[in-house]
Amino acid sequence: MSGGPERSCSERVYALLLALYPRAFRCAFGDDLRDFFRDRLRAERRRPFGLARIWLRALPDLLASASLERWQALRERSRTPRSRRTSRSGDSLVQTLLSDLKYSLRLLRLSPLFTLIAALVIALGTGAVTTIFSAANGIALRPLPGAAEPNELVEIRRAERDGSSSHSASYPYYRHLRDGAHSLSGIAAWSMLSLTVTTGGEGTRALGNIVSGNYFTVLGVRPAAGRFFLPDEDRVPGARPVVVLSHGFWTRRFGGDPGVVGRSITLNGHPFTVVGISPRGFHGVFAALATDVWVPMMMQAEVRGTGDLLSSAGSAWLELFGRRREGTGLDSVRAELGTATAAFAGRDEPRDLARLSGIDVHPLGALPDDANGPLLGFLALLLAASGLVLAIASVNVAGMLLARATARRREVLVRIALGAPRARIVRQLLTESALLFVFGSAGGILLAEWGTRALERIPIPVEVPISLELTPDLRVLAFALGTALLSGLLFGLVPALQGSRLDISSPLRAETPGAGRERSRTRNALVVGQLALSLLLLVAAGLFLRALDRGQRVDPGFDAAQVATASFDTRTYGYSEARGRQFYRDLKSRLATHPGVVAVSSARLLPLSGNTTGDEFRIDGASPSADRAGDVIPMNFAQVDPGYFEVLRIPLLRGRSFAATDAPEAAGVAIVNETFVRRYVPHGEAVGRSFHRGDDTLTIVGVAKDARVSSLSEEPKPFVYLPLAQSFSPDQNLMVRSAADPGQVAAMIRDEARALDPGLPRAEVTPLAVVASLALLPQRVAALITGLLGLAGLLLAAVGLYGVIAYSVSQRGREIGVRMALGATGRDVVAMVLREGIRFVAIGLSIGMALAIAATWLMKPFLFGVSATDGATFLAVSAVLAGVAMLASYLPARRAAAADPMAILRTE
Amino acid sequence: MPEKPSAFQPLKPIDLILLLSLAEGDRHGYALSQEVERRTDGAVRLEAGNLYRTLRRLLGEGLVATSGHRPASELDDERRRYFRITPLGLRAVEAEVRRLRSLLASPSVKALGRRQEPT
Repeated sequence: MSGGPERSCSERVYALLLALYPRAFRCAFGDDLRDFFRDRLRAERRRPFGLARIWLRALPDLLASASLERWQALRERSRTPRSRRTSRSGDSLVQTLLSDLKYSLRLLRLSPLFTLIAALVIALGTGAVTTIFSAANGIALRPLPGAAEPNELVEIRRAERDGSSSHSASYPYYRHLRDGAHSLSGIAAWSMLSLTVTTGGEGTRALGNIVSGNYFTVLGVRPAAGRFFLPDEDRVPGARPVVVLSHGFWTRRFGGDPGVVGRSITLNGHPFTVVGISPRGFHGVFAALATDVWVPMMMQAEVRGTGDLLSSAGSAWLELFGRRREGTGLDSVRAELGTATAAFAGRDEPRDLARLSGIDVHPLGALPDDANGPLLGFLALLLAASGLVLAIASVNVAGMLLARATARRREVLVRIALGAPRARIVRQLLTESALLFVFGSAGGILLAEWGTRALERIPIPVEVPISLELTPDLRVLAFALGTALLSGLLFGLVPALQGSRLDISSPLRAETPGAGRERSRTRNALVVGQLALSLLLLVAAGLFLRALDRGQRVDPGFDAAQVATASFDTRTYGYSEARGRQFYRDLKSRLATHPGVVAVSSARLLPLSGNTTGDEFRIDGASPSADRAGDVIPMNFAQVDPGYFEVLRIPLLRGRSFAATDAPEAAGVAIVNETFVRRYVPHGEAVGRSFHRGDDTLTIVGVAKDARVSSLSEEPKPFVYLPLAQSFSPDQNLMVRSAADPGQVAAMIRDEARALDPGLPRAEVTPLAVVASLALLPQRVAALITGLLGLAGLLLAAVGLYGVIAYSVSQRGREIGVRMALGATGRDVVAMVLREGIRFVAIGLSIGMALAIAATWLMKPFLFGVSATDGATFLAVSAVLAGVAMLASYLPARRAAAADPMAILRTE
Repeated sequence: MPEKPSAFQPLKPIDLILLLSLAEGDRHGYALSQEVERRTDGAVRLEAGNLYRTLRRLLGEGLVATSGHRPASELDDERRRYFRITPLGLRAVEAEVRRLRSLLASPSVKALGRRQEPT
């Protein structure tokens, strides 16, 4: 795989920008242009401001030559005898645009400081928006990387008749759909599984997919080496143990050795032959989860170790997707698969599956469907926040353009006097601002490159490997340029209209105070708008911070400190259930003997890890909540081993903890929480009472204090703990409470596991506190991002306010001079100017408050019960904003007060 | 395509500078732009887009060709494209230089040059 030499961030952006050239030119010279740019980078990057200088030269060149190329291509295409025009009259729109562009470029070059500052401000704004959009694009919008025509792919799930509560599929159902569908050119099935890959006696954990034989064909993915699965390998169960490795896994684990194809490796204790390597960039159907290994469907019994699922219509364990035939709409796919499903439902199926006679078909996204909704909402919220920063930045630039229009009155006058129509001048001024924004957006794209890198580095403590590719692609580039052009036109419009509205006589008259009153009124409105928007941003940041703070102070009811966790899956080691039980028993008793270890236990799921298990229970004599028919009560439960309550320090209020005597063959027992008792056993003693899960009868042996193990935010709900020994699970999380140093504990766990079986993969030891912190990840990310955006907004707004006050002070120089000559002290002058600043702040804050009250309810799902109109936040944020705004107006005020009144009067 | 060097006269200044640079030896894009900058004391700064637009035109006119020849001394790991001047290009430059020389040789131009020099 020739990845070529490492490419810098600048080079990647430049390469993306080359898309501006016509295709023919790009094909002929694209490589040359890139090489040229790389040469320049190498030669000049180390000089002071090297990177900035390189871009300042490269960007105008690129824009100019690309537009010239496009223009030429356009002209060559339309060069038919009939449409051959003389270009002298300048009637062509493109021609005018080109000349406007040229003129604008020259003007911008003539005032480099203005151009630079404006471009920087715009870069900040577009950088914020582009970063967030790029992240959203990478997480949710980007079509499946590596697949051919990803837009034709659809996800297929069984559902209720109305399309709700979608569900996975069984293998017989999959075959039924696959063999009968004509609206799709193929339907493939897959399922996730965890694997231990062993080579040369050394094990590695890996994320695997069990896939139908046509999986890669339907996706349209081609192997990077070797081949994918043959039809033959999709026929007879257990006959052909072959496997495809992902490019990433192949590089990580085998150093990219092409000799791996044909070699034998061990998956979950069974030998398999590597037949191919998937291409780089293809990570499986949910691209955000990096799949390492693909195993054909017919080998599922071997790797899953759960017996034959291929003939069982009752086991729904597969995800389905298909490829639409060209010209077939989603609706006709839905209709056809709906009919097929209705015909299948109930055939040898248990009741809960037979109910699913409907179908849910939608375009295949990069994330599991249930993760998409909340995530998109969250991203939309962040995108809106970054949009505010862009708005504030744009307003700032609009203010600068207004000031510049004032300074350019003479130039505009000359053009009007020479007969230029107003529309032409407006267009010229608009071209200038659009060009400015496009320059700025290039800086913004650079910022987004850095920004997305930073975002990618935010650690996400989940069990599955996440692979996020957030860096800008072409779609992001188009978005950034489009946004920039749009804001350039939008925010350039007012300054352009005002700059061109000029009666010829005014500059001939003496400069009088108040001449540009309308202009300054516009500027004032702009500054008020900025203050309002930055208040809104800061309020959002403040609310997230409050939510984070509250979330951190919520007492979860258990103590995560000094608890180390490590997950194991004995099925992936090829162990039988008996050997698995023995493994966990041995591991825990070995660890318990170490000095410093306070308690050892294990559980199926870790508290606050984001995963929960629930089931329906029946409690004799308890009336279920009114909205549920029947006597079943849905509740979350946890499967835990003896020692769980000691490790987590959850107090047992009554009864006993689980013990070794709660064995598989012994009577079923359970420990329930306080809320369970309060709701369902309000009278009498809870310990000794029994309730039911399916056909099992469970006797309550203990009552635990309430703990928030499934979610931080919700109020305590009835909760059940079941002994892991009575429902064995091969995948468990070991939990060790120890006073020793975390590094030592980690080494101890690894050593003991390897001592039991040297072939085990290296155990990943994670502090429970880190796992549980996942519950606060959205708040943490949101507080960080909105906080940064809020700061940027505040800074920009302060600069804008400073500019307006300074301008107004300079306009009122004569008035100030007269006042001081008449005896006003410096303090009076400062107070007078500050009063003006206060007026801005007061209006800006009021509007901002109203906006914030109207908008923050959107954030409610992320606030942990902090009110969306939290008084303390609003007050604190307003104080910060007012303080900064006062500082911004104090600086020009002090200068005005320090000036010599006579000097001012003389110059006026 | 015109085959006679005189058909290209007068050469655009930028074409002349580029062709003169290439007449000294084959160069890749960045080196060419450096050379142009050096020859004009920094007055003409050719950026990539502009440079390759010009080169494309010169390629089309047959004055310049891409070169398979690579300087062995340079340790270049990349597949940079080198450009060379064609025989036609060389003749066009020679014709242009002759034209400029005869232009400069006229007495009035010489007088101009002298008057400028003392300042």
